[in-house]
Amino acid sequence: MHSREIIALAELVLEGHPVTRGEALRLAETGVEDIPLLGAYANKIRAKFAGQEVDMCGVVNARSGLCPEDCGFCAQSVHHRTNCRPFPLISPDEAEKALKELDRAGARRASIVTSGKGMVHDPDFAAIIALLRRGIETAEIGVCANLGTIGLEQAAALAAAGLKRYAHNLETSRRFYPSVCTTHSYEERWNTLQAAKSAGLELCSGGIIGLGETWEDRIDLALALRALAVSSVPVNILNPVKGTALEGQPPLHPLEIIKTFAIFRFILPDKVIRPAGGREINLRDMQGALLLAGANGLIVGNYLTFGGRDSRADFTMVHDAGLVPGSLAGRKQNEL
Amino acid sequence: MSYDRIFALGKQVLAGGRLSCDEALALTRIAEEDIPLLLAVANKVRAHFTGNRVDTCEIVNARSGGCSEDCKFCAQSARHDVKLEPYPLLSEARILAAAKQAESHGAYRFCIVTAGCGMKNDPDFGRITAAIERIGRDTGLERCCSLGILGPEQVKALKAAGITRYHHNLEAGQSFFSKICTTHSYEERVETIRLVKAAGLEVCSGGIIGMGEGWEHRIELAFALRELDVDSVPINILNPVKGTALENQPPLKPLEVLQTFALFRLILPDKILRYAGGRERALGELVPLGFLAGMNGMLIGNYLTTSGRGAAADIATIRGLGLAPVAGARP
Repeated sequence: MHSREIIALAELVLEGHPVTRGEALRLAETGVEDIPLLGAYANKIRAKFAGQEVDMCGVVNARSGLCPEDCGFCAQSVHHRTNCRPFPLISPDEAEKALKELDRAGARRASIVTSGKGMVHDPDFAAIIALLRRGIETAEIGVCANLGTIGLEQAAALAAAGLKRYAHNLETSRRFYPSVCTTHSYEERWNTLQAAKSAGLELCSGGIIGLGETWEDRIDLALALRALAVSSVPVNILNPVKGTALEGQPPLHPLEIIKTFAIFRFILPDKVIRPAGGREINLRDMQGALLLAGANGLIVGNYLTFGGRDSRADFTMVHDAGLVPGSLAGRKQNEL
Repeated sequence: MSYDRIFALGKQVLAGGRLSCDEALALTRIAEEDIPLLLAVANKVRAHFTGNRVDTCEIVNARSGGCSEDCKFCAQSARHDVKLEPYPLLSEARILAAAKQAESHGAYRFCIVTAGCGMKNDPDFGRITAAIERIGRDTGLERCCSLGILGPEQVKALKAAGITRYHHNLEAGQSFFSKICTTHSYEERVETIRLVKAAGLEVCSGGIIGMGEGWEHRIELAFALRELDVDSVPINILNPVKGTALENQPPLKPLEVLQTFALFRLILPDKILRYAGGRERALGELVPLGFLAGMNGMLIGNYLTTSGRGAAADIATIRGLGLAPVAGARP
């Protein structure tokens, strides 16, 4: 793609026009020397539609491992032999403590995450609701939940418990999904997001890149997220964990990652686009570049099955990029 | 300034046109959210005129401290109370060992640097030229040196010893120079550069930003370097060393540093812009962005009086961006 086209397309987005699938695919043809230009326009789009704040959140792994599903990237699947240590549901006290730690680390919201297929027939669901209630009551930061597949009934129960935002990734495109997971379908994921939405919950949904998907798959994921009007889009970059089906997957080049984030910003001008797991290992010293190429969120602290870095480094990085860590908007007292 | 204008000026440079001083100054006044666009334009100019090769060098501080001069930024001035152990000229064996280490790191060039005003009456000069010759025999490195002010005889002797490039910074714009140094003049620096060029040697000359200078001084420096037609332009970012006159100088914003690199690239489209000291402290995790903002050279490893991240990390940064460190020393 010629830089003239990037500029013309960016102008359209800045004027408020949504990019089409064909236009997004043209953006994917951006050559290496124009990736900085693409990123710079993504930065401009971010500044215009999403402002200067970077939304910092954290995750609490509240129940780990032994998942019956076979998602190829996941260290928690029983189909994979990894070093991931399974543990049953943590107690409300432990959740409270973990949320406080993330608050101290500077996170403005945190998600309670459980492994497993989902909540439709999960014997822990009542205990999870109790745990969430406790978290929402005691934490000073916004509490989200990421519990797998839910139906209307569970979505309503979560909303009644005071939950504001449900996190559930589409992971990848509809086309590529069966190559990543065979134990459940893309449609199930889509339906879960619709159920959460109909219960009035905000959506946090994104995916993971570097699975062997094509540019079309990435763009179709972003377009699906646009259609769902999600609020926040976490983008993981595969960290090929030993023992998973994707352990031998070659890494993406840092510039390709930056290009992906920039194109996501073109497609989702006003959303929180959140570099998530795998950013440290895949981008190394180029994480700061993402914040000038359209990203405006971060997962701080540890990820589900592997460690992150000291969140102070993330705050310094945000300031160095001329951005500001999210205000207290995500905090409970401001929501009340 | 609208960002259309940024592109228009970028196109002008890409087409072989020169930026005027007023145009450069206008580019210092763009909105912060447009800085990445300016960086992207500089990146294109870099790719167009210089390709994807990054010129790497390593230096050895071959004689440290005790300097008679009063450059306010410098930890080696005898007038500053800095915790820095001065030492006399290193032995030829130690200089050679540093060169071999640089070569093993993958550096393309190696520069011998000495503290002091210059070589006009310096008793160490003969030993320095001997070390340069020795490095030529025992390594494949391009040889540079940075020995301060030179007279015509020293230039001739250095050329005969085998250096291909001489390093001598202008440090700052002419109108700011007297604010950072009073013991010698800007004109003396220019004179040395002219002598070196007249002898057919390449010149590496740049300066330091973040010393309290204004944008106009930085632009003035870049235009002076363009006028002198130097080959390589190292840009240092002040690392305020305790005990120096500038110890309390507040840091520049990272985006302003990157914007400075981009402006230098637009003013000096086909030269080597060399990342030098202070980058880690000034830019943190935005260091790699310098290479997407016009830089195409890097002083790897350690600096004169401060440490870097290590040469291997520097080379990894270059490769991570899809750029290629200039490989293969001369045959």
